[in-house]
Amino acid sequence: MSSFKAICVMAIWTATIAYGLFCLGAHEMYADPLWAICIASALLLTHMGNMFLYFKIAGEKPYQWFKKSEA
Amino acid sequence: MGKAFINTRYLMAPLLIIITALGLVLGGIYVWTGVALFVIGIVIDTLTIKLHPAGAGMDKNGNSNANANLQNSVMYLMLPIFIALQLIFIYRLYEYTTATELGMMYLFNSIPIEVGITGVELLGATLSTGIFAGIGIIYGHELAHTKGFSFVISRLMMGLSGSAHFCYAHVYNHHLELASEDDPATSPRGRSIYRHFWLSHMGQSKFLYQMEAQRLKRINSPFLSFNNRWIRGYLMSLPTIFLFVWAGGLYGVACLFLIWTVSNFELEALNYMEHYGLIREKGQPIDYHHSWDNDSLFTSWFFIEIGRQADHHDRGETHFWELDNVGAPNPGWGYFTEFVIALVPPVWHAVYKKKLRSWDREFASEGELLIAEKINKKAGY
Repeated sequence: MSSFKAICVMAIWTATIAYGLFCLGAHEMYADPLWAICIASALLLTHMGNMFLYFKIAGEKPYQWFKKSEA
Repeated sequence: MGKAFINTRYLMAPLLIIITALGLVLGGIYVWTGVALFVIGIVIDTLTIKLHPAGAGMDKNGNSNANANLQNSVMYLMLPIFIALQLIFIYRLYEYTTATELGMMYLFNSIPIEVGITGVELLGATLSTGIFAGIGIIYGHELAHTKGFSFVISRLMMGLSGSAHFCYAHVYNHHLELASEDDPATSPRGRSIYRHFWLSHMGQSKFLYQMEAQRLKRINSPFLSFNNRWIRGYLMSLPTIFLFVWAGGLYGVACLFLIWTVSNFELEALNYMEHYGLIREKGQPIDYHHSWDNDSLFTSWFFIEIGRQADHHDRGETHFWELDNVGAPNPGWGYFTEFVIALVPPVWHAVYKKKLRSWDREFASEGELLIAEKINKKAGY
């Protein structure tokens, strides 16, 4: 469940960045090297942001072999 | 067995990566070369399931049969080879997005090369690149066990697949916490390969993130800085992302996503098969029985002896050609065959339920048995 919550937030974060890039016209300007480096940086930051969101929201739960009550 | 043969057999994966890249150069149906080679690999691995050769071994004088200079050179050479594979793919991607007219040209007036690429062929090229970028990760793994310049090469190699964090997580997390809850790369019993792919990838990145947070705090350096090796690792992937975006726009992003997914899935599949369901009590030493060894002929040669996991975990910095059989539990099948089984979780669980029952009986300590009982109940084993 904690993973699911995190993935939902990651999807929203990714969709927001994708929408932002679309509004800026990134899908039409990508062939310009300067635009390409900016888009690539934005995508990398989105990816790292997604990682951060997953770490914070999902926490340790997905990695525990037993629930606290089972341990 | 001659030394020349022993050294040549470890060149199988690099050679097939080059053949895959040549397939992308030739274009047309040849872009599927990587996919075809992978399927052929599954067939050969399954057909040679009963052959379990020894490692490279020693000669009469006690020297390794492997040529260290040659094998080391090949490992370093893999970085430019992977870069070349990506660049060739990117050229094909560029042809697709610029709608290059389909046609034929001849290299040196004799070798026919298809100009332009269709959508289906682009899919084939993407899968071929992803599969062999993933197989190449074995060289990134090998160099991750070194220090200095070689370690940076390893990080750059893994960065091509967006997983430069692996090098630190593998050495400082997986090798120390193996077969316990603290190692995200060890799958507990009952987990599918698909779930493991996600959790292991995220967990290893998380390990480096946390390691760097603690380290930078200790040296009074801000987290958001170039000193941060988690950040630096992702920055190593920036040139790759740039090239895919520049050449392909949205298509480029989709292709990159697919290539990274396939290559990282293969990496995590290896972790899955190497330690699935094995248990170690926290605080107890890592032993041979905390790894599944895999020494079938095709797997050993193709995966440069990476299947000799027990010895590798005992002597992490030992070169692959010096690893040997140490009597660890062994499922008896090669990685290609096991990979296909793992793709169908009900079949995998049915098979491993039996294998783990044997492991519990023959290898587990009393403490490990207590954990096994609990986890078997939870996993329905």
